[in-house]
Amino acid sequence: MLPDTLHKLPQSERFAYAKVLAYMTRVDNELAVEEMAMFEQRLGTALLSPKQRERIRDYLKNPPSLEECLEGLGPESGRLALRDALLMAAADGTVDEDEREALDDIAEAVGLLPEAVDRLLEWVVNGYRWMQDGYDLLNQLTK
Amino acid sequence: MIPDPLQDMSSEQAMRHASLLVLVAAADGELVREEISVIEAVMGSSMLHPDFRNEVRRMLTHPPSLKSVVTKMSEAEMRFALRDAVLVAASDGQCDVTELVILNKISQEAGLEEGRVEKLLAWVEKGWNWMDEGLDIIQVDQNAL
Repeated sequence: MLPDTLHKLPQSERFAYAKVLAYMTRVDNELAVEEMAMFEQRLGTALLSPKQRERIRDYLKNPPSLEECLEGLGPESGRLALRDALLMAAADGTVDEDEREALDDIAEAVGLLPEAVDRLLEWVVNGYRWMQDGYDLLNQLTK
Repeated sequence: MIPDPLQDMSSEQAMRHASLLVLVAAADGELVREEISVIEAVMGSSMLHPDFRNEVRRMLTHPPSLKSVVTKMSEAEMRFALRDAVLVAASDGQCDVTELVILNKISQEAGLEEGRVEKLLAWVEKGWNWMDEGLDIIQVDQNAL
């Protein structure tokens, strides 16, 4: 929920970005509550209009192809979509083979090497630690 | 951006949580996109019903009083909301005096030690560094956007 650069992207690219996330939710044919919460969080951060959100939620039932999703993305929005697709995939605690394959495909499409996915996975783990620090802080600060 | 107990909140709890964030965002009389983006993200994480989200959005122009929100919250709820309120207050790059006053009031109501909001602000700064690392990995220059 940290402030992000997403809201600075053109609206059409934010929509394309959200389509990638919708695609990602269906990769392993399982949509955990954690993934859904992360998906909704990212839609919120992107400041999509309520109508756009409705359309994106429809994609959850009928996911677009990856090629279709990538069409509307610019260089930055594509890479942000990769980052957040990975956050979503990792939200339930594991990134399975199908998800990893999809992430590698997105990385390739946005001009990044597979090792960027490995580095992002480590980055996510660091993010979990940061979140935990926040919880610890609230507990430690009790009178 | 990490899975959060927010998703386990009831609609009423999530509404109170979001209301408190609106209060902080509106404290300095100026609403910026960064603050709204954080509030929308929090409502997304809690998977609040779209109707409730609209209600929260309406509050942005008519924020509730602090007392009316916190009297219905448990200490644990307030503590959790304080964390996200700090995120909102710091989202535009600075936490001004008006916002600090409200954050300290919430902190006090939540039974936390006085003057410790600063620790949460330092925690947010670490979060920003973490976000920057993510942008470095994907080679996105946020200043270019």
